[in-house]
Amino acid sequence: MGIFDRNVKGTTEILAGKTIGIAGCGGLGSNAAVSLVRAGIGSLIIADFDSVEESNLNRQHFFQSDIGKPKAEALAAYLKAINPDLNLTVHNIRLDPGNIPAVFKGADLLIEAFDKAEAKVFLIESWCAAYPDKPIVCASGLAGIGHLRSLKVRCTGNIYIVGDGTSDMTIGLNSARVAIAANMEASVAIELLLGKEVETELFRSEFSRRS
Amino acid sequence: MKIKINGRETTTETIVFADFISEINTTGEKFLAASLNSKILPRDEWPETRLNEGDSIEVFSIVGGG
Repeated sequence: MGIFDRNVKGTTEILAGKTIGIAGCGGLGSNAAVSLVRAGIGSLIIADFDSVEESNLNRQHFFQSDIGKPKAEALAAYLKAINPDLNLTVHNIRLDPGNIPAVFKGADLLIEAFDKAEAKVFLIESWCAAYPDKPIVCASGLAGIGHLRSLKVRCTGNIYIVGDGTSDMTIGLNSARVAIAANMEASVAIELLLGKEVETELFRSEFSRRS
Repeated sequence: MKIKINGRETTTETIVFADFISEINTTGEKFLAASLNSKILPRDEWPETRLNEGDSIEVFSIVGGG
């Protein structure tokens, strides 16, 4: 039996030829990466400057024995443990608007997996300026507990945004809700790379009202 | 002029993109990203970008967490 025998027929072969970049290896990036490897993605480029801390273990795919290790390296070991044939590029660096295009050169699609809002914005801007024809899948609004119906996929051009668009990390982060958002990102990425049309909803209507 | 904001038609007399975003940000969101005709418009281009009849704008809030 092979790893991918139970995958949806006709998907693994396509994903095997694709490369996804993942910017950030925390709650979003680590969980999305695990799902993408299990789905059969051929190549991943992962990047994070940070090291694993105990407070990450409530939602990120790490273990006690990883504390102090660079997140990108710790995650790389788990991804390879799932699929040793994964083509994996690991960057232990702090991403900034200047290095993003080079770090993720060759990726067919980028997953935004940062935690800070301002960093999410500069990643979107930097990627879209460098690779306007390649999709980016982002997350905004995944904090708190429950309210699962508020988690949506929205889209403008090549930018896909999952989440509720409002819940800020200051209210705390719950393992299940973060993993759902991470896997929404992974799912949208898989759908896009398979050439499927992604089901999306309109952006929030409050911005359509005039003051 | 008639434009579309987040998929819904509206009219505006505002010319500058940055001013328009300020007007519609009634909830005072800190980090907004916006696209103009399905292309992301970087924030530093908002002050010099002008709105045109028929433009389609999408504005979304980016909040922290990951």
